[in-house]
Amino acid sequence: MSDSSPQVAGSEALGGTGTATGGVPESQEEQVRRRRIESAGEAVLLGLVTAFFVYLGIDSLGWPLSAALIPRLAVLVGLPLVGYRLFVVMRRTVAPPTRMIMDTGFRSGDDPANEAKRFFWLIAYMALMSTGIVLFGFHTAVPLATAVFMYYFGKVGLFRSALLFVLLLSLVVLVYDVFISARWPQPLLFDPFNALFGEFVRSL
Amino acid sequence: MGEALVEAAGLLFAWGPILGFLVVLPVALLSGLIPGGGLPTAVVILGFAWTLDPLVAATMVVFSMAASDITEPVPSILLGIPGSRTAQATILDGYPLAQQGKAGLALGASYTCTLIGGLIGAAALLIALPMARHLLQYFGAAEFFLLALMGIFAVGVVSQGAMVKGLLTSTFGIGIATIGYTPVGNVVRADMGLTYLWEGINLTPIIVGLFALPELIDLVASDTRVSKKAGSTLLKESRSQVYEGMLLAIRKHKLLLLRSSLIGTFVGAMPGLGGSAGHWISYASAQATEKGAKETFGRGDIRGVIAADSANNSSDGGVLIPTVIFGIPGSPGMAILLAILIIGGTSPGPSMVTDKLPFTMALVLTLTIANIVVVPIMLFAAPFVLKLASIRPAVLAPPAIALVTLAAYSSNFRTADLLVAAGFMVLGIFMKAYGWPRPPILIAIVLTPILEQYMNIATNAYGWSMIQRPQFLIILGIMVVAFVYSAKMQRGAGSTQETRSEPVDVA
Amino acid sequence: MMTAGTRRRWKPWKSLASATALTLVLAGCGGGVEDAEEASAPAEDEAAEGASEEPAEEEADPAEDEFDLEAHFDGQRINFVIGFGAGGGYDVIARMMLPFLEAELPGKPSLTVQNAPGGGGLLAVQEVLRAPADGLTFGMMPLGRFFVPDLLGYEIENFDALEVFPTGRPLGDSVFVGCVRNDVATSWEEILEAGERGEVISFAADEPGGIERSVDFLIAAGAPVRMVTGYGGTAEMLASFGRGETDASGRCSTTSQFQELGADVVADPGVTPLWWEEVAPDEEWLEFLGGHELPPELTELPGLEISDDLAIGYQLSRDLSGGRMTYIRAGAPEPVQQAWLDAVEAVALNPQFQDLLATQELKGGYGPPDPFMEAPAVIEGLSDEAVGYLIRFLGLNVE
Repeated sequence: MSDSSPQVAGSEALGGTGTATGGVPESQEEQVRRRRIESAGEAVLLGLVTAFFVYLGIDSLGWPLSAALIPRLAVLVGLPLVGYRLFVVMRRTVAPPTRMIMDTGFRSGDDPANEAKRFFWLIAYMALMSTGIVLFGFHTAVPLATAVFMYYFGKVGLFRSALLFVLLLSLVVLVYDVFISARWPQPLLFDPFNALFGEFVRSL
Repeated sequence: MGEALVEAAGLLFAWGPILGFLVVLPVALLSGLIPGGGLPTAVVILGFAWTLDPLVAATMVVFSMAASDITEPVPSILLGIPGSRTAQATILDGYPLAQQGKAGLALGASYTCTLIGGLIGAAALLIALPMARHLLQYFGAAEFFLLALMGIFAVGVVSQGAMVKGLLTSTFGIGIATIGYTPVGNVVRADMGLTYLWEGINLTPIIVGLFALPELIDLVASDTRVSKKAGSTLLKESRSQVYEGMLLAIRKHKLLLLRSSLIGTFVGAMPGLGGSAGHWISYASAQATEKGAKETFGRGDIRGVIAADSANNSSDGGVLIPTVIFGIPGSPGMAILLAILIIGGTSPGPSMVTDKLPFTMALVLTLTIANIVVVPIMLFAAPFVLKLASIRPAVLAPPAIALVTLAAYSSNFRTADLLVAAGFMVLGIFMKAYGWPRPPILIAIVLTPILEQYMNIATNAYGWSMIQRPQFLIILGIMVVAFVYSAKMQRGAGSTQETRSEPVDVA
Repeated sequence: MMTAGTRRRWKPWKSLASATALTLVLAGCGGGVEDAEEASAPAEDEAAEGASEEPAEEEADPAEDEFDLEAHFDGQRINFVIGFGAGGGYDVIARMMLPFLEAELPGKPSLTVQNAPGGGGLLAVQEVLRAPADGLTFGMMPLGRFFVPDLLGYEIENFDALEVFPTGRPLGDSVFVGCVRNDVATSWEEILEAGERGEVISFAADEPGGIERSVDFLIAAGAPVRMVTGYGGTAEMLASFGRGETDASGRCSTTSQFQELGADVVADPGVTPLWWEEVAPDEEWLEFLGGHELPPELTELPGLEISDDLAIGYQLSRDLSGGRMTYIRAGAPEPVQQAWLDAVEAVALNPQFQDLLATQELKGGYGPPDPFMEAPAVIEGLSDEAVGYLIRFLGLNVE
């Protein structure tokens, strides 16, 4: 399923190299389509970086030179590099990069559909946990979201998921609350929930 | 000196410090596994500084920082998550080794290097203490600026094969590092109208978002374990791999180990530079001078792990020097040590190497003890730790994500840090997907504030006359020689532009 | 891997168990936010309605003898909020104060230092000002940094100077002595002569304004001096002074920190004190510096061009810098306010506490909050130029 090498040199985008490693070579159309998506994606990234450099450059106009020197140097060096990179991307003249350290693309195999599904499930888990943190707070959201995800996605069984829930809750309470005296943000639903059920629960 | 050492040993081998070490040991071991986890332990000890004996409190902080530094390479190697202060360069070769099923090799070498590097750092500290104050007086802002610049040059090293993108990401990192208040000019820069950004962007959420989350997403999406080898095979091979890693470090690459340890100690001793620059300089210098390194570093070359981790731990000895002698902390942990000393009525300064020499020696011995105690524990536990590499991603990733989320929040207890982590996660995914090197951002963010601070001071205090300083010329000369030597090595090896995808075996 | 057709069936008892767990966790954890926090945000509305307990206390304004201070503080856990990180100057002093404050406050509450860095201390201030006005959240900050700009009409997010009740500084007037290396000059007159030749002596500083206002003042008065900013604190500045990277220092203060870190430069090449600020150094200190005579006070140095506005701006910056000023949220019952004033003063004058402070660069003693109480009236009558100097010497970052 996955390529034999952990580092796929030559990969520039999700999906791996020009051929799915160990799989059937892509057709011409598929290659063109993939490169278009890659170019668009990288253009978005370059756009974000450009926006930041432009903002930095403009904001630095109001600073004394001693404070503005390093940021302006970064902008002066960075913007032409962005321009060059944009040119290369738009021309789709990207040569497969040579040996690189670490950032050689995501692993890919011959089942991109399921890979994408797993990708989005994990993003959904993170989004769920984040939403839970905002609504219910860390104590509830972090252990619960993790345990639920492990149960459904990781298929570890109810007992192990519950155990993980307890372990994470213990970590939050014992380490962060007791040991570090952490400060937590107030959950959004705290006030209405406390108003409705607080007295009842405290009387238990 | 000898008398002070004996007295220090007597101070340490008492119930107070020993109990302190035992209490702190498990916490420090676990906290090192999470980015930014080492510091909260020290902060908690600070909370008890009023009630504890100053020696006990101070040695507990030193012990906890040293112990967590030893465990910090574990997530770097197994999961590709760099530490917030040390164990950053370790990911470049440690993680590829883990992916090749050689995590044991990397861990064995890492622990050995941290042990020996730590002992070398402590020994150097012992030797240098009596004259440290006079020696360090010769180094000023101009030299610190050059050393920070040397660290920045590591960007070139980690951008091999994607130089334009590497330079681009490093300039982006420099821009990020300049956000917030600066005393240079007394302005708040690029705060986008947000009070949150006045203090700049915290490093831990950046590490979580840029490195930890994309790597975990990669594991889950591809449904690939960190190591392709099955857990049972890993377990069988782990002890032999760990042993092999130890031998590689102390036999085959002992000179590299020694050199990297000395670099870490020296750079760590520079007031204000701290350990962050040391391991990058060590990694870059190894890449520039070791045979064939230009081709193999970053692909699972054990020498990359040795170079980075030797400097990581030896710098612990180095940063103690400016902390106790000049009152200039080289790291957030040292700032807490300084606070404990002051609360306990001990003012840092020359008396730390005269009247209070036994106290200072006790701190040095604590470093030694931490290394001697913790490393064997980690070596023994290595096979169990290595099992992480064989766990199914769907099981490994969610708890790991939960832990790093808590780490990102607890760095400053601000919810906005989670948004920062999310934003950098998106950036990290794009960068990983499109082959933009991420380590240059880390280097730039860590070293830019130091570089800018000392560049400003050096130009204001010395002006052009800084190039007439012998110390400045010596360091500049070393940089030039290293650059020329590296260029010659490249020409001799005949660097190529071929695409190579197979892992490298330079064990 | 989940695929269609393999959905797990959700059993009802799981729903009940999950809901119960959620209920318990939600009700149990307020997330470290004080229970009384729920009264803080809508406090203004509730005050208007006269419905809540807290405003009821304020409105009732009980006579002193009817208000039970012991009961008010008894068993309370008070957060001592600091706007800077652990291990820094504010943090150390706050932690030093804890046991003394606990002993001085009625009811013997327990205090915990809470680090809330961000916004140059603003986030911590906002946190204290969001807390209920019951005197059970305490803070320490460089008050002038936010107080003065607010009074000058600059907008500061979620900050109102009138919401702050200063309770005093646990520190007295500091002894700041400016001195120069003897291999550069041995008197102020030599410096002036060098200035006529176009030479300027350099002082190490962390940032413009603040403690370095003395050097900033000299620059404004036309003296041949300049600042090299960017150092990370007194220790770095003294190290730079010691190695000759800078010519002079405004922090040759009468503290053990200088005695330790400045001893080398005092021995070789030696130093000459040039001025003092706020409190004159004693003979013992002058002896330590090399047996010098008492130099003039800063504003009495010869060769300076001091306009009225410059003098006013400088004096006000000294009065209103408010470094390490403690405070609570305004609106607490009067006995509670007085309890805090008394406690801070008692701590400040405690000899044991003063001994601890001697290891820092600050002198023991009590700094009353009076200048801040009088500040609104004083600032109203300032000229634009004086305001400019005030902003500069306080190191305020305002547009």
